[in-house]
Amino acid sequence: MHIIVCAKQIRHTYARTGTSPDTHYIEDWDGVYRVNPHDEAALELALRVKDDHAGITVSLLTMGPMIAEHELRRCLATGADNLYQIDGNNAPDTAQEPIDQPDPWEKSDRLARAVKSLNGDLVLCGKESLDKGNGQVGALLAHRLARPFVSAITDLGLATSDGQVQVQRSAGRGVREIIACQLPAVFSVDLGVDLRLPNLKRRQWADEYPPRPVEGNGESAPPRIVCKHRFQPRPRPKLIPAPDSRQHAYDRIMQLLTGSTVEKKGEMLTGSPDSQVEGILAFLKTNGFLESDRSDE
Amino acid sequence: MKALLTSFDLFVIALAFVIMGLGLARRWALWREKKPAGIAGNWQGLMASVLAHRGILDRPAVGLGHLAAFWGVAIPLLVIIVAQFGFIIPQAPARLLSLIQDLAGAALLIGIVYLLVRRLGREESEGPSRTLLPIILLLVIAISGYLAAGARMSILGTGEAPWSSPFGWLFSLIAPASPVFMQMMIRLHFLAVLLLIAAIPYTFMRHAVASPLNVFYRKQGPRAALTQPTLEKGAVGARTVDDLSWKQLLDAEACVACGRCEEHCPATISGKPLSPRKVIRTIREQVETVRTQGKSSGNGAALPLLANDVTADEMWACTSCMACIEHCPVAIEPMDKIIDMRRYQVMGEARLPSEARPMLRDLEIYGDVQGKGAAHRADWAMHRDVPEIGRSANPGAAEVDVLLYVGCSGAFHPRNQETSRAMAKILKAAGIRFAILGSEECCCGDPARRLGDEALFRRLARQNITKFEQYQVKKIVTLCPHCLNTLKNEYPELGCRLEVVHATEMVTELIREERITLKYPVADKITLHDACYLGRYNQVYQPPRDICRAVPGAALEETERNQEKGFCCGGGGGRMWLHENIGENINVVRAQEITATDADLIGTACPYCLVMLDDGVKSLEMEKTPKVADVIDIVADALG
Ligand code: SF4
Ligand code: SF4
Repeated sequence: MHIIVCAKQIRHTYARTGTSPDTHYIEDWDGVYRVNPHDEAALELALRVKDDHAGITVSLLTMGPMIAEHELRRCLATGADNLYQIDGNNAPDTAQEPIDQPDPWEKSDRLARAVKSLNGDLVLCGKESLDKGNGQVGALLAHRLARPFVSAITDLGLATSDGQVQVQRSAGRGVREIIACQLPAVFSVDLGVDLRLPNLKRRQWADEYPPRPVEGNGESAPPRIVCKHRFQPRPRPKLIPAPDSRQHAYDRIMQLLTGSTVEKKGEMLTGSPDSQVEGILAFLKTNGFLESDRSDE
Repeated sequence: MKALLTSFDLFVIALAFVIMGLGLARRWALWREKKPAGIAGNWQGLMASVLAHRGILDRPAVGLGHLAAFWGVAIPLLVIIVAQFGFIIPQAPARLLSLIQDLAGAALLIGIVYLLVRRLGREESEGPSRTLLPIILLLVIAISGYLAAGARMSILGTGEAPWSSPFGWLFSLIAPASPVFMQMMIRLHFLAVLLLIAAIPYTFMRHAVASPLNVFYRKQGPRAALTQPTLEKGAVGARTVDDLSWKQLLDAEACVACGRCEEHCPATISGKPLSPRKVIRTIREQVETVRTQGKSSGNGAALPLLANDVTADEMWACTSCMACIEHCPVAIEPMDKIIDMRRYQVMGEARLPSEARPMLRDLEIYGDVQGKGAAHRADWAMHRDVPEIGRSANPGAAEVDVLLYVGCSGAFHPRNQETSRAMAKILKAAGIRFAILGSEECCCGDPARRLGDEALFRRLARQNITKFEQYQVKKIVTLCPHCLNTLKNEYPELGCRLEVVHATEMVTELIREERITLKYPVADKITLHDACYLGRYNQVYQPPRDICRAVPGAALEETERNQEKGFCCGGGGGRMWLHENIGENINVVRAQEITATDADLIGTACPYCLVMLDDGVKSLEMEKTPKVADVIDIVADALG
């Protein structure tokens, strides 16, 4: 079985320390290049399936130039077998700018053609990306491939020979669903699974690995959902909430200086274990976590 | 004495030496083949250790016992060897020689009896029973020698100078005046000596060869340096004993299991399963299994895994505090083996305690241990007019005397940021032209290296080195002793040799040159906690003390364990990011000890120590909790 994991290389901008409005106050060092964390989680689920079953190939599929090459190769090193690249050369270098990226419609078309040419049985992709947050590509990809789609899965189990898989998805607010789905299929993956580390030998292998180009080029579907403007939030002076008056002067001043609230999280219980237990019980009862045993009295 | 040596005797003597030689050769076949060519020895250290027992005497009683036994064997041995040449010696010096002989014998007897007595009723960890055979042999040698001398005196009479052999005379009171008895005793004496010689390779006595050898080949260069695996060639730390270097195996061979490492190891003391002594013994036992089973065909497939006998809990409990190395009397370094085993776990097996993974991941992606990112690295200096070297009009070292390397703690941890600001204030007050790298700085790599991720360490280090070169940095001052050790002692391996000093060294200098004056009192009684990476690793003990003394009105009170004996805060070696759920918390143990001094201010010079001790002291819930501060903070406060 061939599992394809779509891995998006992104520039994650986490700060705005620049001074120029032309760059939206963003400097080089305000971002890091990495693989979208949701996609990393998708890879981990695929690798877990591979660990448990024989005859499974896991391939990474990425699109556009290698802006986060180091991180992508690290993903490869954690256990994937192949790395395919769509449009390695002819995408503009600026594709790291989210606005210059192809729209989800176009993207899903290229991905779909690549998946077809690679004969992928199961496609996993991240639920959304850290730079765009569209969350569309997975669904559109399933649509183009005419396959069932499950979103935001957090666990993946390959059932027996009948080509069924069982997935767990998060339905929000901590609700979980177990879903049985027929293969071939497309799933999008939510964060939550613990990621593995690569060992050095695999890393060295991955560093040497030449990414394989894949069909996906040529006439692609014209864009249909194009982003016209992208507004960065205006750099604002740091908003510092008024310090909590219950705190010491020292803490309050520190709070103003560092701009963060070190909020008082609760009471520190002291005394003997017994009195501490009582304190905890009292807390749980007053806050309604435990039923008060007043009825017994 | 010459007449006594018949050809049979010569044969027996030769036999003893041949047995010893063969034994040694077989014993050390394994490590000999690994010996690198041209490794330098250290005669001075060897002499100090063997002749004067430097290090061994750190434990006075047993050290003296050993010293007595050593000289008690060495002197008579020398005398006998010299006597074989048959010099004609005038009477007076001959008598003196005899006296020395006699006293040496007495020293041996006393030393051995002491060593034997203290061994009785001890557990294996303190006095291994394997030492019993050599001790009994030595006892036999001493007593038979005296009885022989005593018998001779009873036969010949004490002569004119009984003072030349007082103990022999004592024994002559009980020895029968029988030539046969004397002959028997002489035979017994020599038999025991030869047995001892032949037994060297096969018993505990091999330490008489291995330990001096280990001291001779003591690691040169920076203290407690880690090994440098050739990652490119696929060396990823220690999987089996085969992956250990020649010196590391010699270390294992030289260990006498005295347990001094263990006595000072914070992990052992706080109840963790780790004992550096046991680590070394395990390696030795595995080498022995390999020896008895024969070395498998090269690839080491059949060798037992080190991780079989050294569990993860042991491996990850080490704080890399270097106490074991400091206190080993025979220059053994248990720590580098522990780190090598970690390396294999992390780089070979991709296994790392899960709580430490996010930190390494942050290091990989963001270049700092907190994952806050380079863009925020200079936030501590915001609105404080601290020049960033890359953003000055003319980036280059021309206008900068010293680069302040802040480090992750100083840049991101709220408590340590204060120290960074304090340092900036001091440097400004002293009129020093300094700068920081700001967002171009990244972690020095120490946490990654101690946790076994050598590859990541090298990547981070190269990143920093490129910056140092780009801005032609000549001198660096660091706030964190871990950065100090890495930049000063480990970057040279990667080709970056710079003058690196710690903030306390620099500030002491400034105080001495009177470029800053401490005006205001900050506390009545200060006590100091020595940071392992500043003290033991880099021998910076005095500067923090000088600084505390320069604070007006403050008395300095030492803790019980200080300087070389200083006790770790529990935060080094990556332990800062690992859970501590076995035994006591090291920082609490240390906090209890420090607060026993009744000081109202606890000074330290390391951001890790500061955080760990602060937690430790607070968890004691004392009535009046002493304040924990970096000495740099103290100086800044005293500046006003
Ligand atoms: S390593 Fe050194 S200190 Fe530790 S038991 Fe062995 S000889 Fe003693
Ligand atoms: S370095 Fe410190 S913690 Fe590690 S084994 Fe040695 S004494 Fe123990």
